[in-house]
Amino acid sequence: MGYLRDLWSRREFAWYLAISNLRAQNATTSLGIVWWVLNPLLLTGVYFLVFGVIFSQGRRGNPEYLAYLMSGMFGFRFTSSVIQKASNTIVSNSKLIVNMRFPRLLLPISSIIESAIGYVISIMAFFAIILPVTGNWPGWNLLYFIPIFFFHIFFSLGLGALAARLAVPFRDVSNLIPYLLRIWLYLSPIIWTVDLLDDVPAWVEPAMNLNPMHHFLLAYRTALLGWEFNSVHLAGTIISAVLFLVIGSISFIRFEGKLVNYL
Amino acid sequence: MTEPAIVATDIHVAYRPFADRVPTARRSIGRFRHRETREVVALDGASCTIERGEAVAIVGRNGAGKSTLLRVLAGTLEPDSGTVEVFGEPPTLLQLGVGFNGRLSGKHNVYLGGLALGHSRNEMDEMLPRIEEFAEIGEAIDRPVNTYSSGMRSRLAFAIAMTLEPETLLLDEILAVGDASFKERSMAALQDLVDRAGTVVMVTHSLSQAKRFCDTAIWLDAGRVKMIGPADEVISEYSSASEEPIGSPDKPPGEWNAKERTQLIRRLLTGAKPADLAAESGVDVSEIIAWRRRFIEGGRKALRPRFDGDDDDE
Repeated sequence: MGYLRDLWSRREFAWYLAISNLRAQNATTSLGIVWWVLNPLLLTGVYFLVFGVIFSQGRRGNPEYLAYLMSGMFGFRFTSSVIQKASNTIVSNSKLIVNMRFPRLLLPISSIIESAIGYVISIMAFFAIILPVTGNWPGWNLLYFIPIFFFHIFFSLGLGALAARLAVPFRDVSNLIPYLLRIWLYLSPIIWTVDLLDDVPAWVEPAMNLNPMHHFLLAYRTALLGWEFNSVHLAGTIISAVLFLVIGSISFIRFEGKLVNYL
Repeated sequence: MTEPAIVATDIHVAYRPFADRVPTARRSIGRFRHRETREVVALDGASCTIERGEAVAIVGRNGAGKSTLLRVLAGTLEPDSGTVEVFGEPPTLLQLGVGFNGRLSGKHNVYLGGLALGHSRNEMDEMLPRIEEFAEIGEAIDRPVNTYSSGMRSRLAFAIAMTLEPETLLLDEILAVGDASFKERSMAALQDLVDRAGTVVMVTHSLSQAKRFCDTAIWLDAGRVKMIGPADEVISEYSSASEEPIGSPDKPPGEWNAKERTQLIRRLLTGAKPADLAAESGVDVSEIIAWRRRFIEGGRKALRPRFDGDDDDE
């Protein structure tokens, strides 16, 4: 409880660190903050070229597929960027940690803020592109985005804290993370669509429910693409958020006094 | 005054560094099985009490555990075993190359440091001008800290710490890199802090500074407290044991004539004990040791009078 109060009293620190990092990242490029919009767009551009045009299986240049791809890709990218930032944040702020006494969970939290700002911007870019092409405005469904985003933040914070806690004593973890994230990307409903699943073994479809990202992305599609609401996905997001937040933050907090030994 | 600020009891700390060896697959796999058993013991049962309103020096050779002890006292490093009790506000720690994110500007770092310590954005807005004034680094405050010299970094760090007015300040060699005028202002600010019943603990290799400024000294040796007590006694003891010169002699070398000096050195080099010579000539024993060292290192030329006082151990 005291820890939570400490966290709250230093919330400005997490915010300030996130903003300063974002600023410093783009200070050396000539396009600067334009990259915030450009990065997610180029990323989906690449995947759309490969899976929407080249290996297109009959959906060549389909704008519905573009919307599907972008909504999934941006949601996944939020979590993956939190994990990558959080696993580096302890080492890159080691001097702050060595000299200052503050709740270390603020560092993964600032990674969350950084990534969340990027995510919100990419969602705006999503509508700027999708609306003129498909004309599908999700209407009131868009409100559903808010609770899902909220659970998604806590889910990612838990994973980020876990990654940070593991990456400091075992630096090998940082090398492994990009590959794990890549596999997770392919296992989640981002590039492939559900109709692809006709000729797979029967156990695959229930097994997909074990992937938290599956629930988050399908819930996001209710919000962003106007898909039908499914309470299973809502429950899936809540359970994943609570579970990972508890596991991640507790294991992080129990370890944080030892962090300096490994820096 | 006998009110304690920090009490540390039986502190043990071991680091688990990443060994710098040629990695082979066999070794790496072996490391997985019995993970990194080689530890470096930094503190091996150190205990000390820091009284409020005191200036305390921590002396000892390189690798004796001084910086580690400071980190433990500051609470940034949790000891493997032992307890640290802090009475009052958590202490502020300043180390060389301190609390900075090099990609960010000096100004951003000022805010980051202050916010991490629990100050609000508004408080930092108010303090910024005073910090800039004390640090005297001019427009460099807007440049990334990576572009700073080590002197500028410690100026800024020290200015931040002093402006935040800590109850207890822990300094790790932070003053060694500043120039003379900054050092003077820093010492005045530290004296001010002690006068206001604040507590200062400093790790230093400048024994003259420690002797002049500190009331108490802690001598660390191989992770243990070898001696703790009045600064004069501990530092004389330490400097004669380790042959580290105090540096600022009671009788400056200039007052000696060349003949006396040469004679003294000759006797020293032929095996006379520094302590005997000190008793005979009335010169501080540490100075004689310093002389011998200088002579051995620099030859006869090194014995010309030097008055720089501070830091001639560097």
